[in-house]
Amino acid sequence: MKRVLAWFLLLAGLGCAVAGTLLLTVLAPPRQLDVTESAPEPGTAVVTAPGLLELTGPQAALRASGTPQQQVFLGVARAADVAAWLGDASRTELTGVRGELESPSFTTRETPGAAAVDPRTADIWLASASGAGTAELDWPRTASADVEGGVVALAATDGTAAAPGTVSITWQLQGEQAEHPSAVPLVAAGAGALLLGAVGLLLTGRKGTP
Amino acid sequence: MTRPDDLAGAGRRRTGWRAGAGLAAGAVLLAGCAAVPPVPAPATPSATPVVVEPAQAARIVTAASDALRAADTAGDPALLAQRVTGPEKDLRTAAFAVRAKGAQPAGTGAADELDPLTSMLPRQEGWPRFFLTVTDPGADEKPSLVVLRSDSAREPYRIWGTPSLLPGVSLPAVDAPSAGVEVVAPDEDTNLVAAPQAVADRYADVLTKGGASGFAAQFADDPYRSEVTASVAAQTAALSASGGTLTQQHTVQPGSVIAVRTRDGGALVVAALRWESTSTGPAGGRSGTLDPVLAALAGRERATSATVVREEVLAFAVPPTDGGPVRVLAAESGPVSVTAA
Repeated sequence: MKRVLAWFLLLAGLGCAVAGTLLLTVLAPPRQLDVTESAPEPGTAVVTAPGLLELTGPQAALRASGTPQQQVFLGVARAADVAAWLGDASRTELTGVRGELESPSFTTRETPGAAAVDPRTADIWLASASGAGTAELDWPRTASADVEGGVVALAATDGTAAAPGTVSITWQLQGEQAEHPSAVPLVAAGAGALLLGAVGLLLTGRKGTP
Repeated sequence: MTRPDDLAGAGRRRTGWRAGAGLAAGAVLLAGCAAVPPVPAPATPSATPVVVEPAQAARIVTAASDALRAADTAGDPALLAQRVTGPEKDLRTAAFAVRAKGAQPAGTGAADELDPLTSMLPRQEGWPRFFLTVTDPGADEKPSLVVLRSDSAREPYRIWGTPSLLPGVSLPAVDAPSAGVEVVAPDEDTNLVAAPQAVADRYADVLTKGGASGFAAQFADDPYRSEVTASVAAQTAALSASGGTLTQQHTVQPGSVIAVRTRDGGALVVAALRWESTSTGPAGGRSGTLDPVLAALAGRERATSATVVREEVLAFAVPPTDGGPVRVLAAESGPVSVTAA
């Protein structure tokens, strides 16, 4: 019976160790969370919900893409200021992220409304970028901490035409998202069980020797 | 030949392998359960935020200053619209018109250097908004108080006034830019000798009536008031000598008064005034020659009567209750239009 238990520990430990190693290597979660929203009719702006930029990791990398002819604008500002800028403008709000880390998608809320104006003329932006067809902007999490009331990002073109059709945010994953929480315990438990099983087998083998 | 014990041992080993494989498979399956984190709720602000962050203010001032310099260089009033508004726009537009006619614009006391030394950033929600910067002294060796205002979230901050500090004047201390300053409403007189709007109205009365104003004693003597009083007296004397008259009035421009709380509990107030003066020659008399600046704005060189409209931007230090008279800190003034006949 002891020998059976030793074998069980040995094999279970091996299984756990292999599983833990796999979770730490080939089956490790992605290093980054990359979420893209492609809306055929996004309204005049695509805006993030407060807190979304600080979802995880040290920074959020924003990217907005439209047609090559569009002058794409990306800006980050205090949430209340962006709400005032939007007013009754039509917009798509990125409210959160759903799904698994490997295949996430945004949850969205669409609000119909009027056109806005060119966002480049406003002075509410804490950081902004503009470009033909594409705009990119990195927003460090530490910068959000300095701003009271939370910050949001806004993507638009000229404020009257449709917003960029594709908006993506990439976060560098940290903590439990960057490393599967059961991987290290599995390796440790597996190693322990392997050791116990091996010792058990050795002991039962000696006792059985005439 | 296989013994029953061997069969039993093989069965136990298979069970063990199955258990290990099962554990491994179960653990691996867990990998697929890694879900995205929830959106964190932003912290509730502990206080009303400043209208712009200090770094943002620096960028805005640079953009506005660049636009102002470009307009000054080109002498083109159309270039002012994007970043200049209010009295500053009126004064610069008039100066451009005078320059275009070949005359030399009169000094207005406007800032000749716009590089900011520090900023006063109000804690305020909603629009319209404003903030102030104190500039480096330029060639005139006078620091200036630059007022920037934004009408809405969609509108940029525009330079509204740039009054230069009067000689010997120092600004009252205010909190650091990052801490922000409290906004004082035009009609708020909490712990003040007078509400900001009242201060502006009373000083306009003092400028209009001189020493005869009932509010004259509430203001400390200042070089700007002395200059206005002397100018009015000289013009009145000259016109009276020839049988003419001079009437003049200073009024506060509606909606122009802004104020922030200073560290001593008082307030720093900025207001724009309109100074309208009409000089009329003697009835049936010959027309007189207009000053070149006024002639450029009037579109004629001679007139028997002229109404000159000037705009004034003034900054006051309003002390806390029982803190003494109101002091004028900075002034900017110049003609913006002339109607002559």
